[in-house]
Order: sequence, then C-alpha cells, then structure tokens
Amino acid sequence: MTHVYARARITPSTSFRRVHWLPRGSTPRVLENQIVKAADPLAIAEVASEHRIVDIAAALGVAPEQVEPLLVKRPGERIMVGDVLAQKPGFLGFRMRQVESPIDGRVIVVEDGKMLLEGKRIRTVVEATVPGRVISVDPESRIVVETTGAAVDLAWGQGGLSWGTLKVMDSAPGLETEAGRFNIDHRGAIVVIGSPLTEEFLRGAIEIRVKGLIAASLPASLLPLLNDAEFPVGVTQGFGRMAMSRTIFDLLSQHNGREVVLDTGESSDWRDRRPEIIIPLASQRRESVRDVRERRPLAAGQRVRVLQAPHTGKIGTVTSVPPEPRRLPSGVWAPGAVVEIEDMEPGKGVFVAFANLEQLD
Amino acid sequence: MTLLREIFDEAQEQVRTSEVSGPILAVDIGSVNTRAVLLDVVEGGYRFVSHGVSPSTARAPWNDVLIGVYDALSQIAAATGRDLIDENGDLILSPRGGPAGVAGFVATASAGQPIRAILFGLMPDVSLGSGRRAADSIYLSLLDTFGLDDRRTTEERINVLLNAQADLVLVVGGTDGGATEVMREHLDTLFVAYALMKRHARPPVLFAGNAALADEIRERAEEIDFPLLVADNVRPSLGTEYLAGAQEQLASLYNEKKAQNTPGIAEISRWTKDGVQPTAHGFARMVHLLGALRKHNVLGVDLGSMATAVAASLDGRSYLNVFGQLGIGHAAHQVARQIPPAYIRRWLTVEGVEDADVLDYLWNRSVFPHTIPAQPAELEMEYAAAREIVRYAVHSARTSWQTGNTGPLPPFGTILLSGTTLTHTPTDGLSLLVALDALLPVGVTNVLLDPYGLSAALGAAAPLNPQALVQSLAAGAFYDLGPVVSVPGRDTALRGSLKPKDGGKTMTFKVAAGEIRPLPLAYGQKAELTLEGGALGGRRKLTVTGGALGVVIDARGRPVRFPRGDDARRKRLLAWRQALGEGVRS
Repeated sequence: MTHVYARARITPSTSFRRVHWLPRGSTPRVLENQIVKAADPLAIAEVASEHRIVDIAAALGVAPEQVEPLLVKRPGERIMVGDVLAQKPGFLGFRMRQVESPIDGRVIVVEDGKMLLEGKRIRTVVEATVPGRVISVDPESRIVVETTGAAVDLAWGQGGLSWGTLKVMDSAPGLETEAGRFNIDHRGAIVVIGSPLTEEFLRGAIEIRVKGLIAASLPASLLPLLNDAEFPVGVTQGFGRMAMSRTIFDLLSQHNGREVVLDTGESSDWRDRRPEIIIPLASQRRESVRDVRERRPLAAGQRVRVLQAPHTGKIGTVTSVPPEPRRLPSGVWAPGAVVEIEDMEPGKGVFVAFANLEQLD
Repeated sequence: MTLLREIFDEAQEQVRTSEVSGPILAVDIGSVNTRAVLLDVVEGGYRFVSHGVSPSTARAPWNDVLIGVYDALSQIAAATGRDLIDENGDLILSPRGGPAGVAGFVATASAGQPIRAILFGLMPDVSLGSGRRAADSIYLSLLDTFGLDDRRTTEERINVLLNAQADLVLVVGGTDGGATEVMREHLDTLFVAYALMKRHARPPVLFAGNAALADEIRERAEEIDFPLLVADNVRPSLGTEYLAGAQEQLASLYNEKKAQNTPGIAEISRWTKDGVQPTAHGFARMVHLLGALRKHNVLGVDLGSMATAVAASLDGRSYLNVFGQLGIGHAAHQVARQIPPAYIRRWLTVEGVEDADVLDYLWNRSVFPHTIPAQPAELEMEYAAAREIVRYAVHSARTSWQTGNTGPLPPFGTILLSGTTLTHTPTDGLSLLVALDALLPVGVTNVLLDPYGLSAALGAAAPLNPQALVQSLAAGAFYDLGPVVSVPGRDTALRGSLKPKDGGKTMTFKVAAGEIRPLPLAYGQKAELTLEGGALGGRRKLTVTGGALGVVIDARGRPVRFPRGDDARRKRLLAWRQALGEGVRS
C-alpha cells in the first residue's frame, strides 16, 4: 500500500472550487458567473430568534375553548411588544381584561387556549470564503465559487474567516518570538510569524487589533487565551514549539503586502476541509481545476509534508519508496518512504512512515 | 452450528441467520483505516483467504468512503485473482459463488460525522440513564437532554429543539402501564417544536418509553407529519432495563443517517442485506459470541481514533458502551477534558515531560489522527494515554453492568483488544502490559489481539453463516498473547511449576510480589500450571495453553502500586516492561 493518509496544498498557484453549504430557507444573492470578493454575501437566510407561548385562557380566566372569540390577533398576523393579543370585556363592558404581546414578531398558532408567538427573524449571511467566480448556485443546498491563487493548508486554526493584508513580521523562521514589534501598520492586517505563538505576542495582537494571526506553532496550554481574540488564529506546523517550514515561510514572504484570506472554518470536530490561507492571484492565468478526489500512490519525486518528530511540519521530496516496512526509532515497524527534507543536507534522506506523511498538491 | 443458533435466538437482538454459502466479504470503514477481509472455503472449512487495508477517505480532500473501500478491495482482488467490482463500480454479488464476486457481503462503519441526538425522558437516574446507555451503543453526539428536572422554560426548550439541527430525538420515560399524564405534558414541548419546523427539517423520533403511549404518539406523528420509530420500552419497570430493542432501532437509524451524511455509505449499503451497521455493534456481537463459544465472561475493548467501544459478555448478558469523545486520534484532544494529564504522565519513564507536553501531544494526535509514534518519547505518551483511555472507558462502562463499577473488575476469561494502537505495538509485551495496567484483571485471563482489525466485520458477518465465523476463529483470526494469572491484594508472591503436556521439562518458578514474569510455553502448547501463594490460600492446579508470551504471572497486586519518588517509579515501570520483553515482534 503506497497511499498516504492525508493530502494537503502548499502551492504557489492552483485553481480550486469551494463549496458553500446553505442553511435551510436561504435566498441566494449571487448569480452564476458573477465575480465575488472574499466575505461578499452569497446568500441570506432568516430564522426566528425565539418563540414564546402565551397562555391566553389562563390570563383571561376562561376555559380554553372560549378563547377563540376573544382573540384580537390571529395566526399569521404581525405583532409588536405591547400589542393586545386577546381581550375580554368585564361586567357591563367595564374593566376590560387584556393580554399583551411580550415580543415583536408574529402569531404562529392558537391551540388549547395558548398562543404561540414567533420572535423577530434574524438574518444569517453566508459569505464567500474565497474571492473568485460563482460557478453554480443551488438555492436548496449550495453555492460553488472557483478561484485561482496560492494556497497553504494549515495544521490547525480557529476563529472563522478573515480577509486582509498579509504582514510577515520575521525575516526567517525561528524558535524565538519577540513581542513588542507591533505598530499601526499591523492594525487590520493578517500577521505572520515564523516562530511559536506566545501569550505576550497574542496579547499584543489583540491590543493592536489585527484581523488574523498565523504562527508556526502554538502550545496547547494557550488555547483558552484564544477566546479573548476576536480574529482567526492558524498554525502551520502544529502544537508545541516548532519553527515554521522554510517553504511555507518563503511562500508567505513572497506575497507580503498582498490581500489574503485566512479561513479556519467552524470550530468543530467534524471538518470536511482544512483551515487554510488563500492568496488570490487574479492576474495569473486560470489553471484547470484538478479533481481533489484523485488519489495518487506515493512515488519518488513527489513533495510531502513530514509529520514525524523531529521534522514535524517540514516539507520534503520523496526519493524512494522501499518495498518493505522499516523500524522507526520508537520500535514501531511501518511502511514508508525515504524523504529529503528542507534545511537538511542534500542526499541525506530520512525514512518516514506513510502514516506520518502528507502528500502535497 | 446449534450453539450459535441458540445464541442468536437468545440474544436480545433479533438477528436473522441466512446460511450464505460461498465467499463472504466483510468491510469495516474506520475513521483512519478501511479494512476488508475475504472468507472462503478452503479444504472443507472457512478460512481467512485475504485481507486489505487502506487509509479511510471519509474526510477532506476525498470526502467519499468508497475510494478507500475500492482500494482495500483491489488489494484482495490482486492477491486472490477474484474480481470483486464490476464495470459500474458495484460489488459483484453471486449468491451461488463462482470465480468472480462474493456470495455474501457485510459492512460496518465508525467513520464520518457522529449522529447528533437529543434525549427526552423523565427521571435522570431512571429513564434518562437507560436512554443514555441505549444511545451509547452507536457513534452519537448528545446535543441536549430534556428531563423533568429541567429548569428551562418551555420556550427555551422549544428554541433549543428548533436550533439544534439534530439528526434524531430519542424519547424514553415511564414504565409500561405506569402514569401517562406527566409524559404526555412533557412531550407537548417536542410536538410544538416539530409543528414549527419545516417538514423536511423534522428529525426522526425514536420512542422507547411507556408502551401505553405508543399509539398516541403514532397518531401525533401522523398528524404533525414526522418520521417515528417505536421500540420496546428501555425501562419497562423501575427495576428492569431493556436496551436491545432501542439499540437495534438506533443501528438502523445510524445506517440511514450515515447514508445521508457520509458520501459513499449509501452505495455500500445497497450491496448489503441489512445496511451498514455501526462498528461497535459488530464488535459487541463478536464479544458475545466469543463468550458463548468459550463459556466464560469476555471483555472487548476497541480503542479507536474517534471513539472507544467497550463490549462485555458477562454472565450471559451482552453489554455495549461507545464513548464518542474518547479516542486516541481524532478525539485525542477531548481526552484531556476527561483525564488529567498527570494521570497519563504517571506511566512515563522519560524524564522532563510536563502536563503541557502531554496536552501538545494529544492535540497533535487530534490534528493528525493517522500518525504513529516515531520517537521513543512519543511511543511512551501514546501508550500512557491509551492506558488511561481504556481504564476510564471500562470504568464508565461498568456503571451499566449489573455488577456495578466498584471493586475489582469481574473475572473475565478472555479480553479481546482491538484498534491499531493496541494491536500494532512494537512488542507483544507492550500490548499485554497496556491491557493489564489499564484493566487490572484478576484470575486467569487470556488476552487476544485482533491484528487485522476485523472483529467488528466478522461479528456483523456471523448471521450470514455462523459456521464460517466459528471456523475462521478456530483457524486463528485472533492472536493470543497467552494466559495471565493475576491475584488481588498485597500478598501476591507466587511460586509453582509449569509442566508441558507434551512431556517437556517441568520448570519451577518464583515470582516476587510486585513483579510480572512470563513463563516459556510454545504458542498453542498445553501445560499443567501449579500455583501456590498467600493470596491463593493453598495449592491450585490448572491447565493452560501457551500464547505469544507463553504464560504470564502478574504478581504486582491489585491495584498496582507505584513506589514513592519519580526515579523509583520509572525504575519499576522499566522493570515491568523489560520483564515482558522489549524485543521487536517477529
């Protein structure tokens, strides 16, 4: 078996399609072939903010079957706070008893003497996660946008989608992170450091109000602090203390100052795609879209990301695929490939288990 | 196979056996690996003929489990020369056998998004407890629980139901023939919420409560128009719990939901007779069958990437608990929420590992769930975490066993370990040590490994042809690490002799309290083991059959006690590991 378990994109130029799933009841706001920017609204859905049940019969002191003729508002009618929903005249028409609406919204149903109210509708906007061309619109389920650009799949991220100018703060990847380098240019930018994220640096980013933060790595103990950040945070290598891959760092540095998308998606255990950085390249020739489901056996010459200590997150090239499993330093036997890793002396390959490789597009 | 027929008849599930003759193909689609096995008749009996394994393709960028299945099947086709897939991409099914295709096919799955469910019931410790245990039998994420003690307003509960986007609502509550009014009022909230949902957005309701309400609920389902399944009450009386009916319906709903939310499952389901079953159900059936065949209690632990399943065949009853947020891969980051890192660190011999390092390791395992430990320190952390996950899962599962969850583990004659982490260790000794450290069995226990990860698929295949299963097991489907003799308490030093039945030389031995030691006995060879020691209260004789590690005497006591001080603890751990052999598995 020469198939690896994971595939990722770290590529200077590619074309791909991004599916945007729509919540039920959505109304599309774009047409096929329309050009959209990242964060443009693709569709709008409206859902009720809340529901309330008002016990009309109890409030008016009547039996449930006596409520019907006392209704002032009926199913389907709009209501405002304080509107009279039902009323009952008192003795000789005096001392009218009334039931008022506790919310703005509309009446849904009246049953068993109770009235069900629906609150105001809240708008949910489905935004484009990439700039590009809308290639299909299915109002019932999805809108697909196709784009061309550089792409980097991240190891992990959280905080949603952000769009801004890329500001690479370091000149090289490293393990030391210097805080206190923020200036006004970083406000509203997507900031990149080639080193591990630290608490001090994160606090600085929150204070200057960056729009996104990309670091090499992140100690998992810092995760609770990310709740204080109102912007997405992504890491290229993983958790712990690791420097950024030279290849990724150089790719991001090359596009320093350009508009980029940092999309970490939803914070969910179930991910149908990876957190990613997209750098749109509008001026470049459109490339044919590859079938992302295509599965290629691993072979010499292919680029891979290594997920095996001490080279975790480094990019390399497969030089050979030995036919037999080999023993890793841990003692585990596994099939794998010999990989020449960036930053290492050429010709010195390292055996890496297939399970610890990501095939790169 | 009369015995197996009896099991199926007696089993709390209604399984139909259907005597398929000819090759049988079984597939299990896990979160990390997709495995397939072909059973066929060789020299008059069923044997494992071939197996294939491929990385699962349920997630990005593939998002289609069929790709991994095709790959695993192509390995079998290449090894056997038997075509399995036709030109349309469908499995070739030939009921009468032949040179191509298979006579029977079953599939199990644990990959993909867990089912999102809401539980409705009455009392927290009664119906809701039973409902939760029934729900534990599939890969399910419980979004919310509505009981009588719920302090939220009706409106708040309706809003939760409307916004949850659940796949399923499980309704339990009330004993059969008991009061219905409370339950009726409680369910009004559900019905109001359903009436407010658009028709296609109404998730199916599985009702497994007071049978007297079933017809009424059927009428409401028709009136409001939502899908309803009715199962036997999970709590027919206060003192009786009956989960099998609800579990069977949950398995069926699982297949239906999987077909909708996991691309490729619908196609595979069409190749089967009864749909794609939850992996845990197949695993539990295998454990129960082993219990019946071996005529003793059997415990099964399947440590997966996204979930851990604990199945037990205990005093003739079958138990299954699935812990959906407890795994060594995708769910590893959730482990730290349930198990303090310090518990994991106590099993490490490497120095300088802090809680923060354990957290980083677990999060990296979650982000890259398919990875395997490459460095010795990673290997230690992997198996330290595995010990604690298994320990926690079995301790939690015991709450549903009739024996309760206090005191030592009930005696199990066999422990079956499944899941790549437990079965693909560098040494057999490590697999055994992890199991013993986590489970602390007492008495004589045979520890089996499921090296091909196919126990679930085989369990699922059993109804197709029970004989095929029994013959395959006899032919060595599992890898026997050997019998382990463990005594509880502190006075655990043991001495005795091991006399091979083939006339080989008798060896005498002494194992000091706190030590563990394997005695040499060839795989499959029988011997008479004589034991003496304080805890035994006299001399005992028993017949044992050698496994990969011969016969293991575990005199460490129960519970296992660590010496004080980090250095002494590390030294003791290393001694245990070395005693069981640090050599590489041949």
